[in-house]
Amino acid sequence: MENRIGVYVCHCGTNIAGKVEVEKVAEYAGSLPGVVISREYRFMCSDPGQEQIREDIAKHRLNRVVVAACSPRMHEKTFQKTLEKAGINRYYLQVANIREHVSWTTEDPETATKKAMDMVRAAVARVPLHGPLPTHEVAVNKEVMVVGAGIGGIQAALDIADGGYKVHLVERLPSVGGHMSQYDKVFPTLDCAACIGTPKMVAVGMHERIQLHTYSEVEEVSGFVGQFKVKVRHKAAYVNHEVCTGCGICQEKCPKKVPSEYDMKLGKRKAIYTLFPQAVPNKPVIDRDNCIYFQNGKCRACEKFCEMKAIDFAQQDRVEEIEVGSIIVATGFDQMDPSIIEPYGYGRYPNVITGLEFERMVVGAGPTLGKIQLKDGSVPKDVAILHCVGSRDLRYHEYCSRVCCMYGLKHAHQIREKIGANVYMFYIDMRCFGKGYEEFYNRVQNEGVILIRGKAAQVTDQAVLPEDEGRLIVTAEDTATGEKVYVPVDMVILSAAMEPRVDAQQTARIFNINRSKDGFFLEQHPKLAPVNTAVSGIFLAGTCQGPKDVVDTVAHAAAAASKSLALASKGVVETESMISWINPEVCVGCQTCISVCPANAITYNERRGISSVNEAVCLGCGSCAATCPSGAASLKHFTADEVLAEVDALMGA
Amino acid sequence: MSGYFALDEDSRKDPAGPLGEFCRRLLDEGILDALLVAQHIPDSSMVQHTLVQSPDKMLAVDPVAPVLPVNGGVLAARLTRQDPGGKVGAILRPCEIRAFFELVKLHQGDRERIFLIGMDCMGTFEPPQYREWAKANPEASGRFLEAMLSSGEPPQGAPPLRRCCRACEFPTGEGADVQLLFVGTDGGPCLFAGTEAGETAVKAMNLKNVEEPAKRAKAVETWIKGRIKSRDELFKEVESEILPLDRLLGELSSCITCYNCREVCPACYCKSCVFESNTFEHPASQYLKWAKKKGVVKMPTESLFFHLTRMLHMSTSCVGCGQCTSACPMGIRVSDIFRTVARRTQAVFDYVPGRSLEEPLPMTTYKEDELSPQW
Repeated sequence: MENRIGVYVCHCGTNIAGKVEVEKVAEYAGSLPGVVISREYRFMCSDPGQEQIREDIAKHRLNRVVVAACSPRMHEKTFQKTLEKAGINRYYLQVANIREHVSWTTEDPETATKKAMDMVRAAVARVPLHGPLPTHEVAVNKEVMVVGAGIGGIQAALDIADGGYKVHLVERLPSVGGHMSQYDKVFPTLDCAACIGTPKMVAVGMHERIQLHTYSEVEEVSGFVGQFKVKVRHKAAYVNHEVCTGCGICQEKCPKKVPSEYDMKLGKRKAIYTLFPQAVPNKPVIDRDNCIYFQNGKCRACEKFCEMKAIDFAQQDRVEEIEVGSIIVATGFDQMDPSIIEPYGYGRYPNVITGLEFERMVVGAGPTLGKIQLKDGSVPKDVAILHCVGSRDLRYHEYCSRVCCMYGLKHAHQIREKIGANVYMFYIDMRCFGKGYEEFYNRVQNEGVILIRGKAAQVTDQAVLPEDEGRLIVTAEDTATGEKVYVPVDMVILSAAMEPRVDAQQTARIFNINRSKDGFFLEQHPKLAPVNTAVSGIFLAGTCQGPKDVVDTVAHAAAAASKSLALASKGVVETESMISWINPEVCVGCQTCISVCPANAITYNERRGISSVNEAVCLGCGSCAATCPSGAASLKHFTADEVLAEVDALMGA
Repeated sequence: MSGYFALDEDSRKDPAGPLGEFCRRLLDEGILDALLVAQHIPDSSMVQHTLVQSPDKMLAVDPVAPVLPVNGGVLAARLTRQDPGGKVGAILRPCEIRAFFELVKLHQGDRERIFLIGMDCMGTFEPPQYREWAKANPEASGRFLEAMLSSGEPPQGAPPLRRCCRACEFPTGEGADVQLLFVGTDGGPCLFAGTEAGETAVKAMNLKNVEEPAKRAKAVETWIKGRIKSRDELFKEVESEILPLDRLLGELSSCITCYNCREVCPACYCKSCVFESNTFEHPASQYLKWAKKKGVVKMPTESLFFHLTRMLHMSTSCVGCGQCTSACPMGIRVSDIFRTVARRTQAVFDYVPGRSLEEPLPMTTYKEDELSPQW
């Protein structure tokens, strides 16, 4: 068939045209063999730009199209659709990236123009070799897995279940609820966290389409969008939750007390415990490491008193394989342990506490029954709140944790309201950017909180004045006045940074997702794909992607839910066509391709002595094609012929 | 028990004698069903690998004859890729065993399906030179072994050892089930059982257990030291005289693209080479374009690319057996070039081809620091 190629050179406003002489490039393209029409236009991706291509395909009977524009990552799909609408196979397109590869990276305009011409020539040489690749669809399993049942995971699970699809909600702790359930009130409206959180927790527990897998962890994920297989380990609770009524007698009778992690070790729990009274499910688990029976074979008090005979010391971990169509990762954050910031004395001075410890202290149902108190039980008269502890600090985390300004202000308000103590806030900037946040800031200022604009330098017990003996001294430079300040207080609350979970790397490996420089999970695009990951069908929700408050977490989770809902409701997903293929005539069965395939998409057929590609699983990365010495493995759309034609054209003017 | 066994009292002068007896017994006593072993071809002085099933066809066994017409690693792979349906053994030189190990890692053979007999390798001659010399010298192998063991040089009037053999620092039968030892053994060859299977076999044959030969370790060390010295001289020579780009182009430009080097290379395991595909057949106009660019282009255009591609594909697995050089009708020092380049590619991945089946092929694994220079 005769080549009839159309070449379209995009200005991209001034992005390309500011450096590259696009008219010259288009004119040059017109002189290349096989090119019947070449044009330049301000924005090829715009409707008129695409319309022009469609018109030309019809009018000039084009059978191949080259678009010289931005990266194919941006608009390859756009132009593929344009071709398809005009009635020719979408893979008859080749994009020459003259923006990222040329105008943005080449200094000299003349060189840039020449380079753009080279790249257009290479694309024109390659495009006639393009074959029409078929497209396939695979069915999407309509069940969804949400991993992590904090407020983000809960929101996503409810949205999807309400949309009519079954959700598997996996939580590693014995109860859903996450960090939010530990808080007293949430800014800026100061709703009681339990009042707005508990109904959602209960809803998750009751929902007919949500299957809770608490005290469970994801161990392995295989498969691909639409057809994931997830291995979930259900940790042994040593309590038969089928028959347990959650009466609580076991917890009452258990003689072993240990510090409660949930209460930030401000209170105690038993060795058989639920996280908190409103836990969902409200059924206890036995902490094997602290249970007297597991440690020395005696006790069994819980078993003795359990009327339902629910205690089962022989229970084993159980691994279940669950098949789902998409996965939402909502694994949350850790609060940074500020003891590594030596000058603040956390861990050294008992009355230097973290924000999360203060939350547990101020909660009415918490270990101090809501009493704000020092370690000796007395009520503080002066409290300092230190902002940006570990955040916005190149030594720890360069990023802003986004929530500390607001929760610091909330803590200031709670202290003023409950005990009337003087509150000194040490801050760099007040970042109160959300709806109603600035108003909340003003309100707290008007409550008599003393704001000192300057990051605290250190916390010591070295009083200068005799009356301050035994108190904590916060020193800082007040940058508003330029003076050094010296503030004696009784309690210091550190607004510690939000961090990626300590095992985020392991989680990333299990789901085959990436992390950004800050350690949080990486979204596909910071603006345009904030809940997608690089793995199709795996989405992110909440603080596992980066610091967020409850407001943003819920919105982010709802966005992730909508992605899963879209997949489930469409019911099919188109698989990648630019995938690998192994020529059975050439394959020698060395299986080197199998060892380099990141998607486990290649299997060896013992009987035939050759390997073959599972088309639904292949990501089209090309590792196999690069490794196969005989060229048996090749990547469709990047065949040796196509690539060599491109290289030949690049090398020869 | 030492792991060392006496082979037979006599005769360094005729190693084929006791070795032949040993091979015959392997079949006769049902330890193996078939043995791959080098034998003299009837009515010829040439020696070739033979697969012997019947003990009475063990007529002219001569595994120490200094010639390697075919790298037997490929043959061992061919015999084990599927179940051979019987207990197969092979007497192979070190470079053959190492090539076989590479092929096993590439799933072209199966170590579990073969009983390997290794040996101290004194080196080999170019095959045509061997054939001529052996024709004129009956009992050539015994004389060769005797001379090599006493002086480190082939006997008077014999051809020189191939350059690759002189530079081979792996002359012992590592990795085999049983090794035939000649160096430092005093009074005739002996056996070393290197694996459990090897030990079971020699015990079944009621071979006499002996002490570790006292001089063996030291003698092997000295022997290998000499080889390494020769190897390093080779590397130095090739690096300065052949590898500089203009020289390399000169050396390879006499290539007639017969692909013999690829055919005999034990590491070139592809069923169908990418150079047999139409990948490098270009549209006619392309050749003119190339010619136009520099005014002239050498035809065929892909000969240099062929050597570079082969180097890329298999240099990490190059065991330095030298078959490529022996097969080259143009006298290109293919093996010397490959070994010198391979030394670097192998160093990058801290990889020694054929050393161990446990070591994964460099291309199949990833280590964070693997591409930092090692030389």
